[in-house]
Amino acid sequence: MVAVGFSRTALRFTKGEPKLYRSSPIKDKGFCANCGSLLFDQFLTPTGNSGPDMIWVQVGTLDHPEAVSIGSHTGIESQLPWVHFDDGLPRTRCDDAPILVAAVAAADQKLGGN
Amino acid sequence: MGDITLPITGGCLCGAIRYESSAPPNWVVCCHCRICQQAHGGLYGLGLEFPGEAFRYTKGEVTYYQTTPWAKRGFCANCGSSVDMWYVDDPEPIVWIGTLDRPEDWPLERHVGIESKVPWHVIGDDLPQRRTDVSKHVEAAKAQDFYSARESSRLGR
Repeated sequence: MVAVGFSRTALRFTKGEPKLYRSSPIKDKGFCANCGSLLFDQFLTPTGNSGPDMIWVQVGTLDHPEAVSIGSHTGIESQLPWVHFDDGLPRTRCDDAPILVAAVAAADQKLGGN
Repeated sequence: MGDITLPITGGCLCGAIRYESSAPPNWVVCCHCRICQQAHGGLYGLGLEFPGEAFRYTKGEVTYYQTTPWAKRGFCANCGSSVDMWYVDDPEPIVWIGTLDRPEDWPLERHVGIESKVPWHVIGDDLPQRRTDVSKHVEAAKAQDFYSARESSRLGR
């Protein structure tokens, strides 16, 4: 995903109702039930640099994706070996964020997982 | 690519939809077109085309949305994962690489839809870059509309 984070209080849906899918114990994905377009990601618990007060809107759904730019890459532990980025931006693994790791562990425990 | 195990398998995020192909893909592309950006929410769609006769769904029901008169895109109604795309005049499905069980097996071969690439996205490889020309599919869609009302109603099946 390529996403831009907005304050949850600043962003409102002006038409329609996104459908939510809980893609992990700590995150929902929102999409259009009619056409399937992926619209946003939203954390359910604080993760350090994000949380329920933020909404991560998929850049491709903006009317003007060219008007924003990305600041970093995350989740690079799963980056496909044949994908190349030459942009010099910071790159992090998900487990570089201890609060994120703890949030996942806590949610797993609550669900009775291992 | 190394050794490839057939069939090639994949499915959506929640597992409701599963597919397989008994043959390797015809080609692998990164498509920067505006519809790929909107459907996937990102900067592009990474797709490969399987031979039509080799590909089948083994589980679940794909929900289709007709994005243009000449193409439709399929997704999982439960988790929203984009799964495939079909041109009206082409029996070979384009499947999104991220849904493969082993996406790492199929490296990109070229960029298409380059006319819609977001300017600040820097492509970090030396692969060929092409504009997308859908005129063949547009003409096919028009012909189907013109010659057969029954055919045209099938476009959105």
